[in-house]
Amino acid sequence: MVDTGSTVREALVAAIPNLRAFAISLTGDHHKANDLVQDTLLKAWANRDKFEVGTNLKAWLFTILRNTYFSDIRKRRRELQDVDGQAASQLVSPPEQNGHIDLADFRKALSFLSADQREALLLVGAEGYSYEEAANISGCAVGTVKSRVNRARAHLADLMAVKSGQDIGPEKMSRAVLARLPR
Amino acid sequence: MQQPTEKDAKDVFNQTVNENEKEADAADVKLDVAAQALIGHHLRALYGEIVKEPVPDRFLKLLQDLESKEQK
Repeated sequence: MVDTGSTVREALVAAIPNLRAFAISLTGDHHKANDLVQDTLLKAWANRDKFEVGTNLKAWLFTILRNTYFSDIRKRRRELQDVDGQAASQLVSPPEQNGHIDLADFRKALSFLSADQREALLLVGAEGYSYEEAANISGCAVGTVKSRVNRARAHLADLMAVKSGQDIGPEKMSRAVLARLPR
Repeated sequence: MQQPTEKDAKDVFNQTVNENEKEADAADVKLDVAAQALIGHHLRALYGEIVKEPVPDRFLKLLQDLESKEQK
């Protein structure tokens, strides 16, 4: 056995704070997030020989975590119908629209996004990954990441009612409605 | 003056719809700079708060257990 065990362990430990932040922000649920991080660490340990030295360990771990999360969602979707709708229905009302959004409101607004959009926004906006890196982690096209991030931001801005910092008149309103129509 | 036909009305309608869609596209992408900045700020604050938390013991223990199993 090679004497790399503790280095791998140390590298994994070093990545845990970001893995937790990603998992908690993605799921909005500490319990689920802890399970996800644990699954990710177990899978990473079991597959550590597959990790290519010199590549980004954190990005590799993020890939494992999001794949685990989305395959869980798909599994559950077979049992329950609409996962995102279910999450949204647990929320009593959209965040306060008085312009004074605090972190709790913002967390609530995040939970209104689809999981795909939330993932893209977190990777790019919070982790600071490039669109290309985020696309690699999510296993999708760069353009898909861009459009998810744009949609996530537009949706959040709507929820936070800070779009343009102006009153939303009837004309703006219809534009906002149009922007949400599937194209 | 010619009376507007039904076709003309339809054209005008379609044109308006197209323009609205274009505007909606632009609004989608070109979000207000202030809104973007605020979203970025909240996002990093929320995320950074969690990153700063100490690593829970359960994860440290898990990795220690995995490592010691390996060394047996």
